[in-house]
Amino acid sequence: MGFGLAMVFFGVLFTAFSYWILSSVPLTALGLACVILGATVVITPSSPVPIKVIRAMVEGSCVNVETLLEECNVTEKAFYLPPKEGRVYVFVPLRFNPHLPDASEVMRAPMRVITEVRGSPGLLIFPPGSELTRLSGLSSGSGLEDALRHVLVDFVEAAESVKAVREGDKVVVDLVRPRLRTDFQRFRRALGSLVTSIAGCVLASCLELPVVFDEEQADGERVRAIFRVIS
Amino acid sequence: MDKHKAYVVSLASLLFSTVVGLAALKEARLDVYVSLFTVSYFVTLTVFHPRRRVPDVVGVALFIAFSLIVAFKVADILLW
Repeated sequence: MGFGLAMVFFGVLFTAFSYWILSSVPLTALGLACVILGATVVITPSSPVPIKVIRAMVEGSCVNVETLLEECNVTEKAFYLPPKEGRVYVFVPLRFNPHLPDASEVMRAPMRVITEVRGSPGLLIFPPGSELTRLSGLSSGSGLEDALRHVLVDFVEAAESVKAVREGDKVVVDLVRPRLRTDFQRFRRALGSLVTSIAGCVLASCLELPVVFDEEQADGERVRAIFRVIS
Repeated sequence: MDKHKAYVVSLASLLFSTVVGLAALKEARLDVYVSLFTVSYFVTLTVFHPRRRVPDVVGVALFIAFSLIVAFKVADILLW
């Protein structure tokens, strides 16, 4: 995208210079060609996979998670765990626990569907956003907002824009015009809506710490998700 | 080469070969260049069907420019 913008900028200057100073039609046309090519690069996303296919697959993959959550009667909030072998997992407690376990305890949870943290049972599931985060080629040194924008806006095109603010152990993520919809109630309650769940995966991956989904507020075309970092 | 790269490379080749070709023919009318850019753009668009982040503003702008050029030419012919 940066290359495209640079080409548009160069093309505009070159066109103006060629037209008014050099009075050369072929050079003016060359400048216009640069503008057209640059603008085309800007508006064309680099991922060749049709985005509707990605969205349909991601939405479809929620069905299994919803079934599992429904079967286990899950009511607690999910912990997004930092990547193990490149994949983010989610730990969802099956019982209410007023004291949050610390990061090392959650990360040491045995890798199986029904697992335990400090004697408290929970589900260890693989959220749809995990594979998206891995496939997006997120670099480890990215800032929170850059990482969220890269995955949610550029890669999945699941939202129009995204902002993230970290205040102490809380991370507030603001998503404008989310384009992924889920009507799965358990999924929403435990992991957040689909865009929030993807954001949770990105945060856990970026911070390399467990992140708890706290709450989500939808207001018209905006969704605000609040996460808590466990350290 | 993936579809996206092939699309950009094809469009670049068509646009720059248009400039080189018309310059070699000593063409001095800017509207001829713009018309051929429009044709090149829509040909590559039809062949590759690239995805877009936003509505195709480049296509709209080129189509409007092309329509204006044609309208002026038609008016020129009819009025003279």
